[in-house]
Amino acid sequence: MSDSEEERLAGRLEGLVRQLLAGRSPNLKLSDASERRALMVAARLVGAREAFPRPTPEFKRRLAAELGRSVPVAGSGLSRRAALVAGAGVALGALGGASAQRLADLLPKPAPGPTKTAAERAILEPQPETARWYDTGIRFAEMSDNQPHRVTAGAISAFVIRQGEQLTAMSSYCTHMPCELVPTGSQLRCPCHNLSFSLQGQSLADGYDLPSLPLVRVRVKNGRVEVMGTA
Amino acid sequence: MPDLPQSKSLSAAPAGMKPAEQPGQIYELPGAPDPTEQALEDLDLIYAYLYARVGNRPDAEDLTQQVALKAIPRLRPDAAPAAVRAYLFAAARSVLASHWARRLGVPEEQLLDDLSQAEAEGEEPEPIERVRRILDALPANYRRLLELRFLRGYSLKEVARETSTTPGAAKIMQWRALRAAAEVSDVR
Repeated sequence: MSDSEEERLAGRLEGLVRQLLAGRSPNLKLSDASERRALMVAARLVGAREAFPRPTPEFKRRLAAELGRSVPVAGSGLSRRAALVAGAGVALGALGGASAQRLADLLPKPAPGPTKTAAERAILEPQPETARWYDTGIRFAEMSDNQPHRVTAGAISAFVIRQGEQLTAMSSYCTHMPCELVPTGSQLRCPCHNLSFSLQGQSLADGYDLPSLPLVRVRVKNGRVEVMGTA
Repeated sequence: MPDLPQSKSLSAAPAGMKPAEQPGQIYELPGAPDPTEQALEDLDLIYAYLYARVGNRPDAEDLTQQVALKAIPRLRPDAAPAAVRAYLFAAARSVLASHWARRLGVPEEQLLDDLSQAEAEGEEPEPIERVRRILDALPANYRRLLELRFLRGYSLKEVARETSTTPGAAKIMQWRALRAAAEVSDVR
């Protein structure tokens, strides 16, 4: 393989790796066997970042709702997919009382009440005598949108996230239990329980009125991201 | 209802179990789950299996949904829990092979054969352990790069800085490291 060919393949693979690391589905047909295998092993490496991957409650509710949707119209020229859904509807219809109750638990619940406003959101404020700015070593110009960077600033551990020209830092600990969250695609997931937060720090767990992740003070100085932590 | 395997060591029905027609050998578990109910629970395992192989949530959710829609309507009402789970995993392997075949433009049969051989249920280690084995089999420089890039989420620039090289060189090394990782893994 020539140097230029290797550089071309390496560049193409890097594009796919970036998609994977950003939690997106890599989208490119690869005819070269070694490229294909490299991408598949890259997907496994990315998949191993999450110790206990679990479907979100939202996904499970959506799936259960889809399985439970009854389409009992025989011989109506249903598509294969619709027919499968119809079959599932029949199967689920035969469930016993306990199962039906369980399914009902999985179905979508009414929309939760209004979320807390930004003004009500907690801010991690160290005591003035211990507060100090930490240089994270991250250059703002090099940050990708919606790509959380975990940083520590003394006793404070935070995610720093760029969204356009806006920079946000928030605590990296779940507000339910003190477990450190894991960035997974467009969410921050708690490895201890099946709970997630948006990249804005808001809880995505239906049925749990969890506080949003407390904000951490952040600034850009000489092009580098600094976070307020404790000395 | 599922049957426990015959066992001569069982001489009496354990607490909570109802003796069947052959006392001392086969017991009936009270409240054993309905196959569909169990399948819904097992979808968590299927999701984890798929996520560990595709590495992203959108694909893992899409494939899990395909497995559910494909397998659950076909479950026999008297299917034993082990059979339900085996059926779901078989469906997951099939769906995964189709996914990679579509995504990579290779024959599905080829991928399915590979997956069937390499991933017979119960024979493979946990995803993290499997990745650890792959990394341990690599030269130190490749291992370091893949750990930084994939397990710690560094950008190529950050990897380059950490390994005292240029982003361009890190990109080439990433390509070589992933190819080497594929060689030592069960990815064919």
